[in-house]
Amino acid sequence: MSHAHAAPLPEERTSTGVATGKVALWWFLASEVAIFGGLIMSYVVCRLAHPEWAEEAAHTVSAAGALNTVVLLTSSLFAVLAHSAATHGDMKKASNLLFATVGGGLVFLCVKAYEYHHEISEGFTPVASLFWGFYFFMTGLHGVHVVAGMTALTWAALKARKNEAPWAVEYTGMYWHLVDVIWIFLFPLVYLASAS
Amino acid sequence: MSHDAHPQSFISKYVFSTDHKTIAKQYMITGLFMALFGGAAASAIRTQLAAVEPGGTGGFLDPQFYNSVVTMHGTVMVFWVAMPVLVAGFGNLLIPLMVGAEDMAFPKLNMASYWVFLLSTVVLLISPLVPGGGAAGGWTSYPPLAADPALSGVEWGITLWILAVALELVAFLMGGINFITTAINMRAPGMSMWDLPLFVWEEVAASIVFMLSVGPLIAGAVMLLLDHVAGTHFFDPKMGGDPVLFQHLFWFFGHPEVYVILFPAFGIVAEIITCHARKTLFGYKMTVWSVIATSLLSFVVWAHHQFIAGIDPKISIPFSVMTILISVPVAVGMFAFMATLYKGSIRFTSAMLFALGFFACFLLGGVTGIINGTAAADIYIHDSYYVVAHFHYTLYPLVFMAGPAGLYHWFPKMFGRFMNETLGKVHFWGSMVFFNLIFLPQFNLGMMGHNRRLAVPTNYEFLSTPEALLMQDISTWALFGLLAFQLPFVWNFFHSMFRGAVAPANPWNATTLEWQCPSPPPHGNFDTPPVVYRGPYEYSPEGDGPDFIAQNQPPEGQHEVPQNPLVSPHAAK
Amino acid sequence: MSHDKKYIVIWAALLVALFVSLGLGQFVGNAAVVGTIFVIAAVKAWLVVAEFMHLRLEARWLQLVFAGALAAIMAFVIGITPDVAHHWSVIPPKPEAAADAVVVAKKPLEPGNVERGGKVYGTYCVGCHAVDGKANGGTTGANFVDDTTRLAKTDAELLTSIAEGKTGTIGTMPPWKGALTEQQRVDALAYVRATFGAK
Repeated sequence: MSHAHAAPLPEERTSTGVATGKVALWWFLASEVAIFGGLIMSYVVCRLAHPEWAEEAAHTVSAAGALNTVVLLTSSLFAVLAHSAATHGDMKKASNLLFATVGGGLVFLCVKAYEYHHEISEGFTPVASLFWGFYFFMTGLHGVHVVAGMTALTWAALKARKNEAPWAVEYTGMYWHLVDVIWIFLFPLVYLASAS
Repeated sequence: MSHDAHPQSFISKYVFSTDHKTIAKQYMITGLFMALFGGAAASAIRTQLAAVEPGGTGGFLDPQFYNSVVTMHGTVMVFWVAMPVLVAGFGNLLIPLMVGAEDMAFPKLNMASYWVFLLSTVVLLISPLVPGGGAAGGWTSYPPLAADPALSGVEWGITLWILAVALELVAFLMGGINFITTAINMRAPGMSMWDLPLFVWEEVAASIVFMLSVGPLIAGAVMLLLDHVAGTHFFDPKMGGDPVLFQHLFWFFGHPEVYVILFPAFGIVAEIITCHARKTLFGYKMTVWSVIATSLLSFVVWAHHQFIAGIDPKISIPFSVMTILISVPVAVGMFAFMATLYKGSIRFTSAMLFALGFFACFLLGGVTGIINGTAAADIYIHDSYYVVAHFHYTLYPLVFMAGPAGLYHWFPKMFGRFMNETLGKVHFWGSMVFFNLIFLPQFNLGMMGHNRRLAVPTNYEFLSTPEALLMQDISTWALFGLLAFQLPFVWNFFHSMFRGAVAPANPWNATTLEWQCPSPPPHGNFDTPPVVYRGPYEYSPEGDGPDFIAQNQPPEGQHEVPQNPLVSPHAAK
Repeated sequence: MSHDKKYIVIWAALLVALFVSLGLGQFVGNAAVVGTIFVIAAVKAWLVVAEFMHLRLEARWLQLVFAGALAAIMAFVIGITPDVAHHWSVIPPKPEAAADAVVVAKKPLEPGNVERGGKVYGTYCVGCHAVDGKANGGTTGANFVDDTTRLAKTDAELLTSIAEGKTGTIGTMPPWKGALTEQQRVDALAYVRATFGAK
């Protein structure tokens, strides 16, 4: 009955009182902040040097951007409600809410696909100008993270249905919230800061 | 509980292993293997530079190929030798052992990180073999040269190079999460953060600095790749892009990266000096704070690599000031080593000799960094061999003196056998003498105005003087001497793995936890998880007893686990 | 269940903030408006991070992890702004234009001087064309010695190449009109012809 016996799983052992998975997740999110922060800030500073980009930015579809913001904010709501349900033991509800979050991601991607199609068919390709290069790279990288998030959330939702891996509900949700936060900054930078 | 009950196949034990000790060996062996390529590239460079004669004749390397050799030398040595040996190799080996854990927090992620790293290695090795040759823009790969195939003449070589570097960075992001989480959250009962060996602090700091600084470079590398293959114009001034932006993105990571390499080496030296001088680390807490200060400052000095790149001259001033400031916390660490050695009972094992050699050479490298870091002086010496000499006087000791020091010291733990000490001393003295002979002349060459990355320096009269030619010759012959003295080490390493004298669990009478389990440790490391009662450097304690007290040795008369296992049982220092 | 209600309230607040930003977005062009939009974005992000990701409830050191990443990015922005935020579209006026404003007799162009030209060649041209004029076997530039078509061109054509640069079969020669005066370029050509031309 020695207290010194370590628990077999890292999730159950902690020297700080914070779950090991959560410590790891916050470090991972911090590195994502560094990646997107570096990219977005490079765009911001270049934008300051190029006021003429405002005219190019006018060709982004603000309505689609706004809709996508609503979609992501709502899907974040679903994710945090899923976590709340899981902490109360209702794994079925958590699973459903996670699937709803994934659905939000799917809507987001469809709207984005429409936008890309619209912009490229008007001649605004990634190589058309420096603004469009940044636009496609930033939103594209964000989109890749949306797909990754949807994959992780689906996995967590399936596990939750079987009453397994309750920690995944919280962790995948937190990753999704970061994806949402990045979009919260991308939206005004790319859609709103334009001449019209 | 150790998990060696179930039998493992060769594949699961040595190839697809999740055991941190095996992963450490995989990283180290890959890193040492890549050092062969880095060394071959160095040989090609130095042979070319000694072979060219006044008038520009005598060279045997096509200048384009010379540039790609220079590029590969730098890239390989920084990303594929220094990082896997120092950060991932020693980090993987020692962190779980030193904190008393059975493995890293996420063993499968750890294994995945090595395989991503191995993939990056393969991609890099393929990159010079494709049509168009390998990347030839220097390890810094500045656009427009690196972005425009019409300028560099290289197509696939650069694409593969960028992909290899990106994969390598991802591998270390994955590893970094493990190092930080394990050190923070999987410490043995009774081990507060202030009971951690300095090596663990250094690895945690290195991982944090790496993870927070690499983001902008990942963005920049993808932007460079897009410019190169997709026709975007992020760094193309003709279309409104900014090449200096790439330099900022690169060096924002590139400078902290040298501290990422520095920290584990300092940690290795600290462990060796305390153990082989039988003395507590002088100023342990102050040294930890100096590591934290260095980490913070490392984020605000990067533009000292760009003083003459056309940056706004106004920002040269704060960057110069910060660069000079950062030498202070680094010096604190060096002073701690010196003060630890003072009045110690020094055992001149191979490990200790290399640690001392590291100290002497890194000191020279560090002080020459101050001259480079001052914008006014840097205007003259930037992009000259003075810079080359400076960074070799810092990087070489970090990788090839602290690295072997660590190998000689922990080899018994890794393989249960000693390395041969006589061969170790031969390795040390030869390396010490010839390393200095290679790079001391290069300070002179730099002051003469010898530019970096120059295939045929004797095209210029001022670099064809007898003095310059003599410097080149000395530097080149010394390299061959240095390489010759690595042979005893290579033989020693592999021969001792199988035929070395058998080593006990704690052959050096050391205090830290990795020495309180068998050599080599079984899968799962500790039979019962250790409980920590004291700090990491209780050497030469008062009284007549043994000259060290292990961290997990219960105090006299105490047999029970402390009540609150999360708090160190001894009074705060 | 009050937790859930709180989340829904925050969600509603986020949507309100979004629509306020959209409204303000009609008036972009005013720096204060742009600033307000970004402050709103920061507030929205903070709400998500603190309340949905529960950072507000975590240990201080864990909060510092996130703050540390933000601080690193702030350092990056401050460092690059003086360089990258410059309005590079504005090209500063050429010095010669300024000199024209002051009436000064321009020095007449002398015929090419081989000795002066040798010094120019030895500093600026050897990097590619090498001391022997063979450009490392014709790999790094035009090989004046072995490829007789090079120097067979007229002076005017060669001087244009030197001044404006040229992309050819071997690679790209940069333009030298910014770095070398016309006299220096004429001298260099004279040196090349005298040293490497057909005897």
